[in-house]
Amino acid sequence: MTTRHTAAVIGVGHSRVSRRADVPLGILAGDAIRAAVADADLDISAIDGIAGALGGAGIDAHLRDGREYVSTELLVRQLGLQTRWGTSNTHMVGNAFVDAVRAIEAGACDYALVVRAMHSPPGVYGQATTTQIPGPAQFLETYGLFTPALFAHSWHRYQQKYRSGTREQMATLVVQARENGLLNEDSYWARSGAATLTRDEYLNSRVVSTPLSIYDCDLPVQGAGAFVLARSTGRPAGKPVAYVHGVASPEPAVSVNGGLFLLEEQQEAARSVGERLWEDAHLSPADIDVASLYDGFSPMIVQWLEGLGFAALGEGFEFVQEGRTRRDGLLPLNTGGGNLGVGRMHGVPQLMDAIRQVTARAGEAQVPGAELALAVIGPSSVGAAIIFGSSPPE
Amino acid sequence: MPDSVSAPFWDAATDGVLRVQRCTSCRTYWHPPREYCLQCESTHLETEPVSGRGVVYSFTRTESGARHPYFQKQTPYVVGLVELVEQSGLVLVTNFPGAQLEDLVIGDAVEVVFEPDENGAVMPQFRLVQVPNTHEGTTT
Repeated sequence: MTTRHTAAVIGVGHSRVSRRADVPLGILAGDAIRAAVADADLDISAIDGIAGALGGAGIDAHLRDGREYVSTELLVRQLGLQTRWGTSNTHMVGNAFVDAVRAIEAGACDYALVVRAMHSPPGVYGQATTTQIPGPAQFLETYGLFTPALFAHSWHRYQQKYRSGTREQMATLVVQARENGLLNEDSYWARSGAATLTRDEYLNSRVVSTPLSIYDCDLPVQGAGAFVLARSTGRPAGKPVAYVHGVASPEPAVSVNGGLFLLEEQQEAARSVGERLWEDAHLSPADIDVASLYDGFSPMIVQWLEGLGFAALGEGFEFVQEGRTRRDGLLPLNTGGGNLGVGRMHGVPQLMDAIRQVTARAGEAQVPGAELALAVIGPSSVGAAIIFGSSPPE
Repeated sequence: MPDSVSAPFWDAATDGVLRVQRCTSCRTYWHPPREYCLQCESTHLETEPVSGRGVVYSFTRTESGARHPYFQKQTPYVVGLVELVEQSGLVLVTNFPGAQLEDLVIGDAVEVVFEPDENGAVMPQFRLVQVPNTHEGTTT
């Protein structure tokens, strides 16, 4: 049996976003945290818990805390926090967020920060520097198997297995992501004055690894997002509160195949997250008013749609056509633009979108009457999910 | 870069043999090779010869953005995965040398071949098994 959730988000903050690092990342994390604390009408001295995520930072000895990544330990010192609880994990921010929900509900702290800062290095992201490749990667990279080819082969297998999932079908999602992103003040594309993306531009864009093209991949950016969590009771009337209705942490049985992101393993992981999510929330896909599904690479959206039960396996690409995922459609999807419409902020766009929708703060992107919104973060093998509501769970 | 765990795989390839790590206790295959068996925690792992037969699991053609100078020069190149017949989910990476993207179909039979890499080191690769075309009545 699961008990009803009592945690809620009472403040959100986002730093400015740039294409490349121009100030140390820790300063942007500080900016996002200060904005979130102000949004919650708190003094920063009230913060007594902090959760952060370092996944994807590729931390090794030559990277510096505060420049290429930001640890929670650094932020505690930088902001003079008096914390009673904290965690820093190597997953994405969804896992840290779920941990913070648990900490609030267990009474380990009263006001918890969840923070995610993303670094955009010079040159090509994750560039290999040597032919002497150590560890399990020696069995991948010596054959030229790098990201995003790692995320392309599962789409290819999907296409042959289900006779669905063409680039023409994918265009619907990618074009919509940019369109929604341009309405989002956090978006790098919006801030840089980018234009909408047409279907033809998408279909004719540079292929990276078939069937993935450049617009199927999120754009590396530098920025930070922060959230303040507290128990939902006793908040001043009229203040925006996003109530937690359900959570699911990442699938514990991550692939041991050297991180090959095999289609069937990803599908099973998404199904497992969904099973635990709906049970925890006492809800089903039909209850969700807005879904913000992870899209670091575009095919992940469909893997989540199918795995969580919004569409049957092999039918996700059909589902997203005919306006069903638009703001006025059956399932408004990634109304904040997601990573594709914002930039590579890992889970921040998904959390921000769902929270803004249920607190009626999504501006032009607002779905009227949105009561329940879902945020999903990560590829499904490391994915976490949170459902937010405009009112407390019954 | 061969290490104590991976060297037997690469050494066998140099000898023209495909060997895959296997637990001597519970007989589970592991690739990439590991320090111990995740199935039974045995540290007794040997690198055993396998049939070299498998099926195409999936593939892609990288046309730009490869993260290594050598592969940047190789683009466009095919890279994909082969599932060996020995065990479900036992997957190896390959470039399907000689095959074009259009030649490959998921589930097609493949067999191991050995090809040098950029430095002359021998790497296991996989090519499509040529199935005799019986429809045209040819005999072999």
